[in-house]
Amino acid sequence: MRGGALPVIVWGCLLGALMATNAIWTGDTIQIGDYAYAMLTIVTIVLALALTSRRRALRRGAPERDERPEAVPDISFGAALAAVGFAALIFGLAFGHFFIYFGAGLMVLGLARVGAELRSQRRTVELHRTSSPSPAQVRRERAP
Amino acid sequence: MSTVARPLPSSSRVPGWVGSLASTDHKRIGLNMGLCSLFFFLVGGLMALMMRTQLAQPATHFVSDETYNELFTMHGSTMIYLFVTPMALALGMYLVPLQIGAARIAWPRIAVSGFWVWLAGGVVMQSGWLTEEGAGRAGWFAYVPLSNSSNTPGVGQDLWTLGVLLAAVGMTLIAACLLATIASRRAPGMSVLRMPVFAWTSFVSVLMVVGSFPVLVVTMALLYAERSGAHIYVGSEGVIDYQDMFWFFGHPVVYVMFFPYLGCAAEAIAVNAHKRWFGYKAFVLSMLAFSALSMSVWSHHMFTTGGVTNQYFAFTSTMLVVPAGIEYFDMIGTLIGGALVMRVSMLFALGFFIQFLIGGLSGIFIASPVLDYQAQASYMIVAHFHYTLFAGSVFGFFAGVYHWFPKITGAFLRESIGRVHLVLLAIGTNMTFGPMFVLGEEGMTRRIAEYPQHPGWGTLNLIESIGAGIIAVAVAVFLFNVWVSLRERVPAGDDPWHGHTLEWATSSPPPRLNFERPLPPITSYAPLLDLRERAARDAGAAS
Amino acid sequence: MTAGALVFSHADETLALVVTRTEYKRLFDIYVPIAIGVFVVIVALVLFAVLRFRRRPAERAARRHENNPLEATYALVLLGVVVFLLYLTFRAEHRVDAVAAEERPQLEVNVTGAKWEWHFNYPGYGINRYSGTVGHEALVVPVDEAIRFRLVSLDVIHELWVPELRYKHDLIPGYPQAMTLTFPQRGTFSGECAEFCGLYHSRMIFTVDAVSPSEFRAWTRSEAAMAHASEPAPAGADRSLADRSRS
Repeated sequence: MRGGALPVIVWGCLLGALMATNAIWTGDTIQIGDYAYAMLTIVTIVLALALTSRRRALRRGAPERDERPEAVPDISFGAALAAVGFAALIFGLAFGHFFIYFGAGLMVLGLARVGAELRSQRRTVELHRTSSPSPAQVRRERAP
Repeated sequence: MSTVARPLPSSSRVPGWVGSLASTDHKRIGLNMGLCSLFFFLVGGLMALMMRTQLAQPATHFVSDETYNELFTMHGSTMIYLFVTPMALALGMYLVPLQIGAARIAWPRIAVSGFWVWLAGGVVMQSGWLTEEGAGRAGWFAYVPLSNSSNTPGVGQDLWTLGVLLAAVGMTLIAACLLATIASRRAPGMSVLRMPVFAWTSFVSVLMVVGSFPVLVVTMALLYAERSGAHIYVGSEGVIDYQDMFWFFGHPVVYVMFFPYLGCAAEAIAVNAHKRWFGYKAFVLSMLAFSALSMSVWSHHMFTTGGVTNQYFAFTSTMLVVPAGIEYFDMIGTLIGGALVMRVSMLFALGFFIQFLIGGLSGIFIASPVLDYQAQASYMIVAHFHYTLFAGSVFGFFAGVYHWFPKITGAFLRESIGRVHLVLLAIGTNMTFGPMFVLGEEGMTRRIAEYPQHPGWGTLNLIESIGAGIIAVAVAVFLFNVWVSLRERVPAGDDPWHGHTLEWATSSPPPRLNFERPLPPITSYAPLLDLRERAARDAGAAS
Repeated sequence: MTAGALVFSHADETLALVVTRTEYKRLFDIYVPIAIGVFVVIVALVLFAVLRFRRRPAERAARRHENNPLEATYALVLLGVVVFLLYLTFRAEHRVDAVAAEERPQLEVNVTGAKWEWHFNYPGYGINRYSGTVGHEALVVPVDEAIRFRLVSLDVIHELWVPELRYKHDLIPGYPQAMTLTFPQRGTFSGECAEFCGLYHSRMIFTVDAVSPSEFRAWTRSEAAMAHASEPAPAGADRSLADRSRS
């Protein structure tokens, strides 16, 4: 995961310079607010990268090999269901309370399903770690 | 993450098409989103044909004023929120993981959700057509106070607002997933300065998406609250603030609708020139500058309001000349000295660069406030953005399609039918959008259901409407090409074009985890070309 | 106020009035030839490359893939072009926006926009003209005089555009603004609403009669005479601006 943060930091600096120029030239509050949101996104991305990869994200160079086994989900009905539920909930704001409740229910079901999928994934990796000697293999995981 | 992923056999199967709807395979998600986007393109195109029929002559009365206002609103909304932008993200979703040597994307469930939320947004938006007052009709930008519930009443406009919100959420999720993938799943050896050109264009695009689309989500949420009775965009400040917030999204989105297709055209040109893309480091730096600038120009849409500092935005908008000039320099540098093969993908890519230039130069024209005071809200603007987005991006899109169709399906698209497609599309495009520059300069406003009798306006509009019909024929020819090519398949193999990048180092279509063979060494942004050049050098040295 | 004003105030002012059409034409006559030139050069280079380098064996493709010093120089040249264009633009914009606003107007017209009609009121003469869905009374103006238009909207955003003058400006509800225009030659010109304002946006049009100053004075006198006969509002203006402005 090396170097992933560097282009984002460069972009952030360019955007920051433009934001400063805008602030000095226009002094327009809402425009500064717009820019501030974008800068916040950049800071969040860089922080997330730095925290998850512990400084490797900020080092230049190419990623190294990562031999950790992973369980790869094949399909995720939970994610699809939660997404459709969210959309139904939003649709319900315009079209009737039934859809709001229906959508919320679907979301809950979908997220619960995602939880189950994630647990199954973790179980698979643990099983694989204890049983199989070869670290370079990845098992394809089917949702239960 | 090891890039050689050997899956263990699965013991049971989910029914094919059901599983493909919830698949976490980035290729499937990309295909799903791309096919849905293509469907919306046809829907939006139908609306355009209806508009062009109305405008073919000064007083056709083909549709009512109300319907016309719905048509231009939904045409713009469909093309922007439901075709060009999501198609760019879909291309990225399919190709970027392959190009960076990843076996899979990061956050696959986020990607699945993103696709479904976006698609639902499209359905919600279009469902307005079924309501009593009709679909959204306050423009794709829905300025307040026109878009509030007293000026544009009815649930159709509400559904438009919520549909846009959902589509924006969905696209942001997809973009976030792609960002995480680029950050964390590049293959060993794939430093950021070895990512291919298309991957870089996608990278800056998804940066812009996460940096600006959530502002649209908030803007639409607040608009919906306003339509439900809250007092959000109050007074004249509310009017300007709405525009400042909307366009903070509204400008970057057009660059999201441009960069990935520039990437498609660049890849097609490089491969068809047997030469790696010229000036890679300058290109990368200029893409970062281009996208940062694109986030800083938005109030050039507001030059005539009197509510913003025009000069700052004239400055940032005119500065776009510099990175744009670098892209064109690199394109010429790639062509010169190459060994050019004039395949359909190459022709579309060259068409992209030449036609986009008209759009881009007209953009520098309107970056000047005094020139914009005439051009704004006229057909000059309609010409400008159709040259960048249609004559530009859609041609770049077709370059990508002809280039990558063999990789995605394993079969070639017919070159002969492709040439007919290209010629018809080029003629139709320029017939439709070229005269708009003249009409705008002469005073024809945009978003009008009828135009007054002016000498020459009827003729020019008729030419444009005929051109639109030719575009429709060209699209039909393309669809026919796809149908024929899939019915009577000519197998393409792994690497029919002698590609430069990693997606050509696997089968066509790629397997579930992308790479079954070990990856070639990643020595630059054109690893396969490096291999071939080294082999040729060694063969030459040996003899 | 703005950087442009600081740089250009008192630098380029003449005693002549700012004519927006002239400012536009001056910029147009520089921007457009440059754009055409760039387009021709790029297309010529592409055509040259396509004709010269196609149908060659792949091994003959050149290996050189960058020239950073050349690109850096090129970027600087482009930057120079940008600076040049911005100088011209800022100078024109200063004249059109700032200098024109400081001219002493010889005529004031109050413009009120509302769905879907224009109300032009001459406060100095008590004359009212209406155009749009209610009918078409021309806006009459004298040539070669600075006219200050005060722009007010009663409902949504509208935009006053006179293509002949190459200028338009928004009418924003709750934000009265002013613009100053000079008509350089006589004639009848079209005017329209350029900001989408709802159902009959396409019908919110008007015409401008630009006449000589003496003809204009004569017209104001005859209008004043007719006003004594209590002229009713134009036909079809039941709930229109005509009534609203009279109350």
